[in-house]
Amino acid sequence: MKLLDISKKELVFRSVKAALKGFLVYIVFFIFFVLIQPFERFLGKFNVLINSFLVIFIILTVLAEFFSKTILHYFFAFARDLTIMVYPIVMSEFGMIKFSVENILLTIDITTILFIVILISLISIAKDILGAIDFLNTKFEKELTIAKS
Amino acid sequence: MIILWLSLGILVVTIVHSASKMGIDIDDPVMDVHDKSLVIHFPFVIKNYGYYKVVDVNLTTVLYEPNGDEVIRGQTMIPLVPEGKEEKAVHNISFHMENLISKSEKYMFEDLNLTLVTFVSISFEHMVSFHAKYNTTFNWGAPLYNFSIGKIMFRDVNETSCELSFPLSFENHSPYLAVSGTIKIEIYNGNHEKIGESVELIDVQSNSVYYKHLSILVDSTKVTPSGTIQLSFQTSMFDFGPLVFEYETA
Repeated sequence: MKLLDISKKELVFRSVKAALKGFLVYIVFFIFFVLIQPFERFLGKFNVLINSFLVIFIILTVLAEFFSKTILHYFFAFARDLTIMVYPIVMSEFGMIKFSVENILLTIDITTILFIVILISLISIAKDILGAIDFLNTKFEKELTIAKS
Repeated sequence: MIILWLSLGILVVTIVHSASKMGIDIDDPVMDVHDKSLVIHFPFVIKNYGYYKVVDVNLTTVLYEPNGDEVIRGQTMIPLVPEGKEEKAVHNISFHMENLISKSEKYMFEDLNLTLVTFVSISFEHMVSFHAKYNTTFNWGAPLYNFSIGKIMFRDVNETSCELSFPLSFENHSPYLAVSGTIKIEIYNGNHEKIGESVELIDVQSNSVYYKHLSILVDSTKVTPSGTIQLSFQTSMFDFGPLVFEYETA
């Protein structure tokens, strides 16, 4: 079974498009990090977790874009949205980020933000699943039409 | 979807910026004594120059004994600090000496290392809450540290009375409390009859020592070979006693 039955020109176009999208995502995160820089020194151990989240997110975004117009696009998009939903929950220990700065124990309660993230992620996941169903349905209809004719 | 994610991103970034634009200025503490209580006032100002309302500001200080028992608690709540505004407040910690003494007399005689736990919580529009907990040691200085009476002496004055004298000493280790008031001295014989009484004025400031020979005239006809001396403090901060010491004439 061929996953990508495309021309070289299309392959190059998709690669460039995926790379550009990955770069754009990186730029968005870069701006986000610049804006939250005043609190960077408090992030501590979360810096590594945020960076690994960024890497996973960009890889899945690039893969989803590269495999657009295939079922794999929905698979990677689903994985990306699931990562966006689950990773912050695990990373923030269910919305309560705890760390200490100079003998002061700080807790940041981001449960409301996390709730919004989960809601948007669920909408995205639903969109991915419906998209995959629509994709398979369209594909099946096409094959059926070809078989009939 | 992109609009939703961007909106969330903008929300997070603006909350972070609001938090960075917030400030808390704490003035020097002011001490006040009234109604046998020592109240320490901590005036502070919350400056909210961010984009969101700061709600449910809670400042709580709790003093714990080394065994974990709560000694005192002070709490200050500010329900709302609007964006671009400042809010002044005073956090009070109140030491009611007689409540402390009723818990344990060790507060009068022993210097203690208590733990002062400070909790601060701040919420930005109920979206993100920041909680901070800070532990520090609070040195409690005993106002009657090393309280002791020396050798008790009797000296005949005339046929019906004699003078009972003894040295009394203590150190006021409290940095906040002055032991100012009176000591009531009552002498009882072995039959529990009061045979002498006196009131002594005292004024022992913080971190100073009290040492004095006290003399009380007693009814020599009622003196028994043994009895008790009872000392009661009545000061501006606390009433304490009686502290009972035994004497023997021989």
